[in-house]
Amino acid sequence: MSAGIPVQSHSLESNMNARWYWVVALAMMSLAPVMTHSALVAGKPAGQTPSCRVTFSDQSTYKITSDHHVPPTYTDGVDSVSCQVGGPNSENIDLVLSSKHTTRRISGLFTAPVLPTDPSYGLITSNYMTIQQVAHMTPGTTKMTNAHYLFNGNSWSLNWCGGSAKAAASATSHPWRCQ
Amino acid sequence: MAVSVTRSSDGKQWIVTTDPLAGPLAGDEADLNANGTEALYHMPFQLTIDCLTACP
Repeated sequence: MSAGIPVQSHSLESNMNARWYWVVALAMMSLAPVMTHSALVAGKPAGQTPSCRVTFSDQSTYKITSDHHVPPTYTDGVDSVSCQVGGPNSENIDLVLSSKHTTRRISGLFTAPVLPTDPSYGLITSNYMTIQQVAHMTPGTTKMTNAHYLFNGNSWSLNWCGGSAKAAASATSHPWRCQ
Repeated sequence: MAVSVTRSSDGKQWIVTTDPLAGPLAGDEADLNANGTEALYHMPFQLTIDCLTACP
């Protein structure tokens, strides 16, 4: 009899271990869909540059508007649109509309030169916009900064250069120029 | 001029505008560099940027 007790204990321990194994396995299986859903909602794995969506206000008095797609929104990953907030060595928010991979464009109406002697070009499209030094700005605050668009197949640059000196300095390696 | 950028209190949205009422330095005058020449144009706009993933 005494020789049988350890055998029974060992068998009982094995059964307990087996039960715990299945409890843990079932718990993991039940959590898997939640974890997968969370990853899908997040859109990108942790560590990647945050993605964004740009919505233009298409008021009739504005000269830079959307391409009047409905809704007037450019969403990262949709229609080959790229929209990113910050990233490695960047404090900017960038919207990129690849000329090869998407038909989406930004509209610019160059009909209001400050000097009447300058030309009126009419409607020109853009496929690049950057708003500088804003990715990590403090929530609940307002700042003045630089912005740039590239128009006409990236051969024209349109520049707001009255922002911070830091933003101006970060623009020196690009086709635009802030003095 | 500069553009005015306001970030929402929850950190998930930025509003970019050239409206001078948003700040004394903001305005719609932008410098166009085209074909090697520069000229100023009135180019007013406003847009909203929404962060879709973990915001910085």
